[in-house]
Amino acid sequence: MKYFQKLCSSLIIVFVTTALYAQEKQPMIGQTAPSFELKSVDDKDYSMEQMKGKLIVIHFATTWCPFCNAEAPNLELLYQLYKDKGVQVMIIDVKEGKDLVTQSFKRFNFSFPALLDNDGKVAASYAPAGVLPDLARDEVVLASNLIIDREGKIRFYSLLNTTSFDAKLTMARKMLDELLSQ
Amino acid sequence: MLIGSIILIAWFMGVDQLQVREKEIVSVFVEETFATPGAKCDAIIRVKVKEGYHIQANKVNDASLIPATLRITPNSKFNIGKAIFPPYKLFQLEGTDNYLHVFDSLFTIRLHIKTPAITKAGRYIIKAQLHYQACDAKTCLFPKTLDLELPIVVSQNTIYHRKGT
Repeated sequence: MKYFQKLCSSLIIVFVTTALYAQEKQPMIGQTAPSFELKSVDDKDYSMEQMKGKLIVIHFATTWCPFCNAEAPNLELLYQLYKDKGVQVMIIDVKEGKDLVTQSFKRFNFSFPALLDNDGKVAASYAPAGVLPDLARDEVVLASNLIIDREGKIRFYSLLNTTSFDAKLTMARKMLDELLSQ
Repeated sequence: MLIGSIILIAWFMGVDQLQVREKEIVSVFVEETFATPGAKCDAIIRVKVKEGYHIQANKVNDASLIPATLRITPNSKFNIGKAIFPPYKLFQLEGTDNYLHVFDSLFTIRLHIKTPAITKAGRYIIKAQLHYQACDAKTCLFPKTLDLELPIVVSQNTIYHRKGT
């Protein structure tokens, strides 16, 4: 009986710790962020290269994505709080037309760039290998947030299928604070 | 005990938290609809949304969202009414005050059809497309369109019944 109780206790501990590990698991951490060159909705060119030395927050979005829209005001707030600390925020809109994106994002009054990934290739390049294999690669990253450090390495990746939805970007801000204090 | 724990860990780690294992998020089931010339009937479209997922309802509360729509290809043999969707459910986005209008689990779309008196007996197909955008509690998927074929059996008999009843 005692053996059985010990076994049960051990199994519970294993379950809980493994579940916690799975919750915290983020893909591609420490990997070099895939480079890109994209145009913004106001026709400016942006690339990873030109943002070297900055901390970059990227949010993959579409206009119809409720998670993205719920997060949008908080992304603008984050930018206002961190822009003077060397943090660049940007949205990468996936596979939508410039007119639609411009019109739809007007209500959020973003003061950071919204880039257009017309063919979804940049989104696909950020899809972690083997994750959500049944989905199109450019679909995997929708509504995700990433933080890329000054050396171009991915330090935070809230791929929504692996973490709880954090509309207020609490975890991203915590990571930014950590990186800024280093 | 150690071996048991190792097996359990291996099993648990093998259940990849990141993967969607089932391809179909939304499945549609249709049966033959039996119709009589000069009379009205309802075609029934049963929609199954994978557990844990929802699709935006036909009436959304934010113009940027993509509502579920049933597009009907015009068919000269029938007068086809608007699709009737069920009442929506509310889905709260975690950590926000935002509620979405959604359909989940199993729901039914009804399509009112009037068969003109001149339509001859036979089996016809009404083509339709269900357009939807699915999410779960954590992520969203690109909008998709499912092609449907609704078989309509027109009989000269005035008494008809649905298949399977």
